[in-house]
Amino acid sequence: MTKKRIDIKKSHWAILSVCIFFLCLVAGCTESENNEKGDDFSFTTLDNTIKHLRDYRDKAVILDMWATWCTPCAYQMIELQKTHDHYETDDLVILSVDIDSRESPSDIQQFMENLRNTYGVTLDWIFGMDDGTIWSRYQLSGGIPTLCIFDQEGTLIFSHEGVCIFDETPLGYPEDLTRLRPILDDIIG
Amino acid sequence: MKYIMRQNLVSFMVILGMITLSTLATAGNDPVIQDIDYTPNNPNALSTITFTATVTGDNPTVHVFVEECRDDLCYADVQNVTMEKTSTIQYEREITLKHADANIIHYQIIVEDQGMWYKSSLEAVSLEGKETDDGNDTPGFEGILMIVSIVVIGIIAHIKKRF
Repeated sequence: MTKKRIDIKKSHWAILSVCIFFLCLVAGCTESENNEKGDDFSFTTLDNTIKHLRDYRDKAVILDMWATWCTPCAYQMIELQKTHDHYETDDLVILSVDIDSRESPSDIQQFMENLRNTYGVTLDWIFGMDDGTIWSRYQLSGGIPTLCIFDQEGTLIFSHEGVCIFDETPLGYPEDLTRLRPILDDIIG
Repeated sequence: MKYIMRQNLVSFMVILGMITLSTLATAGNDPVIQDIDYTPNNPNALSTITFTATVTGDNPTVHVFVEECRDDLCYADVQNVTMEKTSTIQYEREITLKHADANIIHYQIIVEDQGMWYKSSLEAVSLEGKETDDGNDTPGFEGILMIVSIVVIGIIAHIKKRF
């Protein structure tokens, strides 16, 4: 009886150890490694057209989440201008989606006008408003700007919170900012 | 001739007076945001800041808007809250900051009165004692789970030895 009890305890012990071991292995898979397939999110452009991620298949897509009151977001747009100018429009699409539902298309247009006048940028990519699904899905820890990059198949391959630079560090910027060019060159070639 | 000139002068002064009175009357109805202040003068990250504002008007609703930022980003969970009326034209509200790594806040007073919105300029306040966050401080989910597992196994082994 005692031996049987010991055997049962040993088997329980072994099962418990194995379970804990596999749980530790699986836990590593729950972290975001950007292997999530690009969802087909939607947003509304400034001319009130609804667009989807799937509309831009076969192109790399930068999703830029921002708001007009966010000063770093303006700096991000200057870097996105450099990015936009470097790649062909057939290869890369930039979607700047305002995640603040209190803002209107006219707020965005005013912001764009101010930025154009101040920094001489053209901002000639796609701007729009979040319908509530983009920010809830792709935000990291609540900060903006947040950038996501999807490959030509719509797979999310990069996401980052805070300003990213295109390639060279502008004067006065910290040296350790994430660069977009290596990531995009890897996708676009 | 003198009589006509005097008549014209009187008419002119009456009209001028009416315009002045109407302007004063109109200006007296629109809310005016004055004397915005905050304490402490040198707030820290995660601290509580008391905002006060003097706002005239018929019966305005007064809000304080606060956003927290660091150098490379702003936090989207801005605080936009109604201020309490402490006297006829005085408003006050406490705001507790939420982000340990913020190094600057922007604040603004927003007044709504009879369907019209009025805003003060967006002002910046540097925060002291911000905490740096390089994002690599925590050991990660797997590490924590491994540590817990080892402790549990150790406890079970200890109990087993005792019995």
